[in-house]
Amino acid sequence: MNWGLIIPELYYLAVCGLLLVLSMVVKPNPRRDLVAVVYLAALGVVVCLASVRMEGTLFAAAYRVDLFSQVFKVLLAVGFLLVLSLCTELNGIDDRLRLEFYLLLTTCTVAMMLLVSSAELLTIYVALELSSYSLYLLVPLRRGHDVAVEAGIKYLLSLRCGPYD
Amino acid sequence: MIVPYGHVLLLAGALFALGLVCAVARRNLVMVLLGVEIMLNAAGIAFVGAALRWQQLEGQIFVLFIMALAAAEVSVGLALIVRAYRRTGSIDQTTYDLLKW
Repeated sequence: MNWGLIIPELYYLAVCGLLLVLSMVVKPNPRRDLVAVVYLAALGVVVCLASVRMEGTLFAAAYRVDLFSQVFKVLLAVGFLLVLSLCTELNGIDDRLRLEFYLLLTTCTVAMMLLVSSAELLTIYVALELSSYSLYLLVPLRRGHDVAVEAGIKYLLSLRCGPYD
Repeated sequence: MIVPYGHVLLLAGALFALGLVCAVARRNLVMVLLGVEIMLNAAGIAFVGAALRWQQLEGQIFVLFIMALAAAEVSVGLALIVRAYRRTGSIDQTTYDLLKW
């Protein structure tokens, strides 16, 4: 198996792990955290750009890497960087939850990167679920009213029962 | 296949109906989540039955994935319910009516 084909996903997965550890051990410092995450996201764009020309299939052709998927990965990485740069005035999230917010955003980005490369129902299902789980948790993270929590629960339950994601 | 496919489908349908009733009629949020999980498992039974009926093992692999993801999902759901209980002091779903208009 050629691990080199999925370097962008592996990079963002490593960022996820890093953010998970940091969110558990580091004292929150919004300014420093944001700068660090933006730098990591910018490096992610570079990684995605460097792997644009890769081609091949993995996992018995259930996962396909080609120009189409790599271009979309670059777009996703750029979008992630832009979203993070909008977070300078992030008043809706508690300071102590910032790192977890970035962690969930990164997870969602990884899941969408998996989704654009998926070539079989199984991988599409796993990628979609991964992206929706982090969204379920992002909704009630907002500080303030009870509406956010209620909306999170209703989002989860209605998407489980209703048309699948 | 020893058990006829029709019986498997009947079982899956009955289990799905049970889960649907539990998800729609119960007022406790944990029970609603449980009903959704039962519906997922009913779909899994139909998958396994179909996999045996047509001798295609992808169905069973798919069910394993569904079970793993359902476990992850139920942990997310329970975490959400705990958070909601801390905020509002109730897990009765009829008290969650802020979004109604």
